[in-house]
Amino acid sequence: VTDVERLFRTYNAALVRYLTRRLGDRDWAEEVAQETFVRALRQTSIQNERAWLFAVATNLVRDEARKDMRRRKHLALLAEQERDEVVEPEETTLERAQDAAMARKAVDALAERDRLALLMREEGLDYNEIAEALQLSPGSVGTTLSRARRRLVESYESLQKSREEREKNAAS
Amino acid sequence: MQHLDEGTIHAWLDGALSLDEAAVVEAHVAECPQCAAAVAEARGFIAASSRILTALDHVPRGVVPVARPARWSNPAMWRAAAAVLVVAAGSLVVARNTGNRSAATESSPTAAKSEAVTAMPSAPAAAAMDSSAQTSVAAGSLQRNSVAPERTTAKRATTQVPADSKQGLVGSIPQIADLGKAAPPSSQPSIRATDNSAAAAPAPITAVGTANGVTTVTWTDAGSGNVLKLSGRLPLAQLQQIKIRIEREREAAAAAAKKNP
Repeated sequence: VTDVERLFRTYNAALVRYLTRRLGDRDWAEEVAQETFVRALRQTSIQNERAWLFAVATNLVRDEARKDMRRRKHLALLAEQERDEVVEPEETTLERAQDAAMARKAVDALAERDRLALLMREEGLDYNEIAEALQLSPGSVGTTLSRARRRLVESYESLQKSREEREKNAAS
Repeated sequence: MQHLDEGTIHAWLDGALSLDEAAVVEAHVAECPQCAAAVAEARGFIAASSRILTALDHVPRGVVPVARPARWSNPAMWRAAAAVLVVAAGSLVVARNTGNRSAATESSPTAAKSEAVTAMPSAPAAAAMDSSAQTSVAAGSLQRNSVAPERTTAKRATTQVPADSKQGLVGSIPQIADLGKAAPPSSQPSIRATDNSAAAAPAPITAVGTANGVTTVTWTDAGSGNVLKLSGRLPLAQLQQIKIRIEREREAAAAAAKKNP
């Protein structure tokens, strides 16, 4: 029997961060992470724990996205909240939020496989683990990652540039 | 040797190559300025993408509201509040003075002798109670607070109102709870009125007043000769009906007391 408590302690933080980056929603991420550990509980043995957990979490996200229900609910709640309370964020928070929005956009622009590989790598998964979780050949992980990083940085920089131009135009 | 492909450079920088492969890459990068530049660029991409992804962690927590504070969001709460208001508005207070003095306006040092009567057979409250005569009588039961102060109503009146002016003031809201599960009439504290006459006809109303939407009718109790006042946010006709019911109740109580002193 898998020691779920140990698994949780070891991987929860990374898994939640991975999922938060993937989903853009911390609460949702925590929900998926918990469900992942629940699934782990049902396993008699897991060979590569980290790869297994990330693969299951990724599949859960995929399943949920397919259903789309949760997303709709989430959007409805967001809209409701926006109506309820329009809080002016502080300057630093605003800047941070803009950065986050640009990062979000740039990450969303990636192909799904590239995005997931990159996010998993950021959580410390090695090439074999990423290959196992995403069912890639280990030899293609380097190519996948290099493409993902280049595209991410390039689209982020172009977003940054257009923002700067907008601000310049607004100022003049 | 041909130049390194980008995937290999990233794999090398990620430490994903075997020792042998890494040694080959390292040797090539040392000799090839083009690949050295590519390695530098790859390092930049790795660092920059890490930094960009870190920005994704600044997701405000609770984007999905976990639970909203329950501020009247529950329709049942509104219904309950509405019921309380309706019954409060419809509740009636009858005050009897031992003398011929007005209960509501005058303070009396003889509070112990005073009698507060709560009547609650008003139409809006009918939903909460059975409309049969028995239940109405039970609900509209009269009580002396000098005799039965254990009822919530009487207690309320005692605690909320200064002792010298407590007559005629009855906290009506706690009464609602009692009404829902009103005990059969027999268990209610019955009035031990002192009058002997069983007047069949309703006593004439001696005064009708309206202030702030509250109508008050005044009459003299046939049996005891005491002045009784009945007030409520109700039309006069309804108050009269209630008055008649109260009189009937008092008569019945008096008759019972006579039979079984």
